[in-house]
Amino acid sequence: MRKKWFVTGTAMLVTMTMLAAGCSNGGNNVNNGGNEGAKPQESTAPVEESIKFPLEKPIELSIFAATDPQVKKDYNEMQMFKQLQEQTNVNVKWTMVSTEQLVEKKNITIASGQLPDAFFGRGVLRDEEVIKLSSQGALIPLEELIEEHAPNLKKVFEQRPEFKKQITAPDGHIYSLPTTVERDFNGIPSALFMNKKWLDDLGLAIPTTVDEFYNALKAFKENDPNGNKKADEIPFSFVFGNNSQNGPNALAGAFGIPNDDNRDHLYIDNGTVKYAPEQPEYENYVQFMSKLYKEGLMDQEVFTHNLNAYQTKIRSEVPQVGAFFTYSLGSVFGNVQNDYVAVPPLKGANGEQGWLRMPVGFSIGSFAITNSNKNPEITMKWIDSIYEEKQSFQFESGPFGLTSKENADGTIEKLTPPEGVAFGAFKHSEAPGNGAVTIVLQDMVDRYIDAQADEKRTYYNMYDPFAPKEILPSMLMTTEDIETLAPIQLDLGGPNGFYSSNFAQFVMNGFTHADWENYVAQLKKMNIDTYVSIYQKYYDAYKAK
Amino acid sequence: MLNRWKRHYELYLLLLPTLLYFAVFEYGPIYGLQIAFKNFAPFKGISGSPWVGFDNFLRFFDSYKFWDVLVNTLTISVYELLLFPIPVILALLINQLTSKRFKKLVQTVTYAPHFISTVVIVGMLNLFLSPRNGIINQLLETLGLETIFFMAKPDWFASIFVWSGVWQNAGWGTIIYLAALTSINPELHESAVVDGASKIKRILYIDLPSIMPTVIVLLILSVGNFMSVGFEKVYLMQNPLNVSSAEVIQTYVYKTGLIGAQYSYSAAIGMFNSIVNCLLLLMVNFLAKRFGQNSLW
Amino acid sequence: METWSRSRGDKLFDWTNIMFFLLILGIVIYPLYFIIIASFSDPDLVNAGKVLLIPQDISWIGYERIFGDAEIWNGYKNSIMYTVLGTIFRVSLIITGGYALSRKDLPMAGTLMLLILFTMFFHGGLIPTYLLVKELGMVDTMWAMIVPGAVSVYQLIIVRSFFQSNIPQEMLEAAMMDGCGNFKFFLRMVLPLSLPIIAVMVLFNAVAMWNSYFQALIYLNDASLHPLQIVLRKILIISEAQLDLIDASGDAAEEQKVSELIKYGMVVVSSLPVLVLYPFLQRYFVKGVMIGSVKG
Repeated sequence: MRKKWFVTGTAMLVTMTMLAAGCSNGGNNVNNGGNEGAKPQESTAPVEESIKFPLEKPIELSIFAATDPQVKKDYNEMQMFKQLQEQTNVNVKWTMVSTEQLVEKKNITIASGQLPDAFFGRGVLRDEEVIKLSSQGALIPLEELIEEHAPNLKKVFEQRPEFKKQITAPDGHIYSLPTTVERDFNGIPSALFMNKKWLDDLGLAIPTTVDEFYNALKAFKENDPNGNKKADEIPFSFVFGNNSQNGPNALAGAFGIPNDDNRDHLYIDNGTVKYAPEQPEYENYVQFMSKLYKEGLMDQEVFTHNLNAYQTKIRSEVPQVGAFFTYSLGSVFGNVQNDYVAVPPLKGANGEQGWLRMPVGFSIGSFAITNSNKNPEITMKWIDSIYEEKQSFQFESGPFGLTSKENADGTIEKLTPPEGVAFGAFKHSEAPGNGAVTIVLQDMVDRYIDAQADEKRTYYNMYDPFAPKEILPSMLMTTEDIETLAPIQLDLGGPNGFYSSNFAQFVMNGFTHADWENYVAQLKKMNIDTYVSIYQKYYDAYKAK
Repeated sequence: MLNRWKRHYELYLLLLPTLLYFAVFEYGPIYGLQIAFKNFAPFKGISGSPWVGFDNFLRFFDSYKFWDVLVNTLTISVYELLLFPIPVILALLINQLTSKRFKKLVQTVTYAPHFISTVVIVGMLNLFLSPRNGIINQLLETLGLETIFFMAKPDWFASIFVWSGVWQNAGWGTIIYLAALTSINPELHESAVVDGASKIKRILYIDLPSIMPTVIVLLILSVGNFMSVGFEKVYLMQNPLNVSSAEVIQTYVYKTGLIGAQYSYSAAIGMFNSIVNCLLLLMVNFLAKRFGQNSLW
Repeated sequence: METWSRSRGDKLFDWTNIMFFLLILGIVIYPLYFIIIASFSDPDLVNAGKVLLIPQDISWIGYERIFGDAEIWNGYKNSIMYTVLGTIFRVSLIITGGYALSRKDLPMAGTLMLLILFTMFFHGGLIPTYLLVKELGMVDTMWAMIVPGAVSVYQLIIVRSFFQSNIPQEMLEAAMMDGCGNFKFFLRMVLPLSLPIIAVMVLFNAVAMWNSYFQALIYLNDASLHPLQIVLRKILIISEAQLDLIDASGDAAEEQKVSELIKYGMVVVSSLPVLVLYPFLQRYFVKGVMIGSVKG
């Protein structure tokens, strides 16, 4: 009895160890196999002019999809994909990965060497992944396939040649297809609001200059405008950090900084790329903010509170915040509050005026075909059918007849979800929604009836003339340049990096001109010039294309 | 030899499942260690990626934040280690509670914070320590003291981090000592009572020595865990004002990884950490042995 | 006279001790209480520091969202299954392995211990481990939750040192003299004497299994296998997701409040079941007292 135990045990040990050894080799073999399979374009037969959908003989693709967390069922069970399957006779085996798990799952999939036929979903591959994977031959070039099999995409490129420029890698090839919804009004993320009632009660006009703004804040602080006999007013608040909608960056415009995009702090001055926080004008901006802080005119928690705590302050039952930055009133209060008014760009001491502009969300790596795909032409034609204007719209916002309907005049109306279903869940019930690969151009966006968007449009129109006409587009870079930039970016602009911590210290504790010069010298040491020059190089190349 | 084997095969059988586990699941993937000396490219796999020697390590040592990050990590680690005796003391005192019900209540309540997620803990810290309406500052105000903007002061960071950790985990940490206390022979206490020893004396001369082996083993283990500062909590507690004391090795690695999924670089830093910890553990274990205390081997 | 003063000293000690723990209870209970009331009070008032003792503007929407999710019950079911099976598996390995390694007469015990200790510091990392688990066919099965990461070196060492200091050598020798084999000795003598440490290990592992998240994230693609922790985080993320491409996210403000409620509610929903476990284990902490009588 006991002997038997022992024999089985040893046998198990041996098998298990062998398994362990075997599988590590197994993994490597798979990798090698993957590499050999490169360059499928040459290996496939000359392009047949006519791929006819629906295909006579169905094919199957395995696709890795980044999905929105609100998606609750398999893509194959969604109305939009069922329709697509009928139109094309392409069957898809989906590997669906919710975005919050994307990083880990994607890296494992890639590292285990078993590539899917394609990657699908908004932002499924980051820019540097597109470059890295393509440089290893894992992604195939798409430009010829687009030419032959993607009429819808070609139409988009004719209307928006810049899209094609943006997705073209430094080596001249296109390895991935984009997703974008052209909500132009989102190009100006933030608006400045002030409490109109307080201004009226104190007999003040809406400020037009930095000085008037300062005086209004001072009046807010000193005169108990909410009338509760407590000095609980916060004259001015915002969220510092990587939050463009609620951050104060647009204020820099009044000090002569054309743009202060907090992702990279770069702007273009007559074709020259410049780093805002090292400009002499920036010193004045920070000095002004520091003055507000010192005199108690600014919320002392701007560097520490999070978005929820911030919005709570704005929504406070007895109003407490006099001036604040945010996307729209609707996004904070749920509706438009007449007590608050959007303030046009303030004028600086020398009459400078400016406002923050950022690129509208454009994700380069939203669809890519891998070298293990045996049917790249069909795959291209398949994805192109999603790029058709109305298809795109429905893949993003749900099928017509369910979440929205098309009116006779061409406008699109939102339909309300059934009782007890949140709109987000409704939208993602029959379409991939936020995880879709889609291009919805402005014309289509404008046809959608949306009161929230209309509110935002009014702010957009107000600030648009003052925001810079030209900003840095998203561009693909070479691996070497990415690797040079990464450490600089991390130390400088990373979360709580050099820029943020210095800005915060300067504002809270004040600073002298010598401190500023010291800080600029430090920036130079951290290779700020290299940083700027790399962007300059790509910007020039982009202009030349 | 055969005889000896025969005597022990039952023991080996008991050990076998555990050994199998370590052979397969720990030593099976161990070839992954080489990643720290390579420039890992996911698509090439671990064995296919090029060797880079100590580049990843050197890059870390050369980074401009290296010393700051190291000092911060060490500060927090030493601070945590100094508070190591707290659960021991708590356990000794809980053990002395005479009312069984009260004892149970104390135990259940002090374990509970262990289950609170880090996000919520940090959320509460921000809320309670807020300079405007946080409960702590309201208290300070009513006592006529000056309010403190805790989260904005780099000097406060380590204390807030470590003491909130004590609040969350000290109760949970008593479990192991309480279990050790149960194995004390009650006769020892009985005869001590007869001899007229006070409670405090009995704690010092009976309870403490009895659980000392456990205490020493846990102390050695926590030294072996020295530089592993809880990443998520530090990361969530950071802001641009306290970052000068709040950047630790773990958060720095995370941020570096964020930018380019730099497996090799983070593996190298992880290995550096492990080597330091491993050396510390060996050292403490040696000392424990030297002083005739319980040691790991 | 001396007896009197001694007992007075002990009484003083007892009272101080009680007062001390009352203070501790106060410090610990308040934040716990706060989490509970914050999970159903208006988040704006919570964030404004106005909910301190009494819940205000009560709203159950956080819990409605959590329990309204179709996946939540399945998550509970899975978590209970993983916790029960995983705990049994892990504790068996740790106790048997820990005992064998505690025996000083076991040839090679020291070497094996060093090899095991090595893995406390050095691992192959995520990718090789994933490949292994995948090759063993465990991906998308419950085994991926139970087997990988089963034995913690830390716990193995604790258990080993418990055996070393609590199972007297003489007892083993006496048993061997009587012709008792190692198995029998382990089952009849060691196990009954180790109830406290077993209880501790059950508690540690059950809690770890219950809270485990990363393993599910890596190894389980099939949503029907997801444990509670994954489901809860997903619910939280959905409520935080504000990025809508076509809409100007109309209910962003409302959703944000819900996400605050869910955050606190999650603590309650996920930790209550484990807290309930404790009283059942507690009696084993007392049973260990037996050791003394056996020794004597």
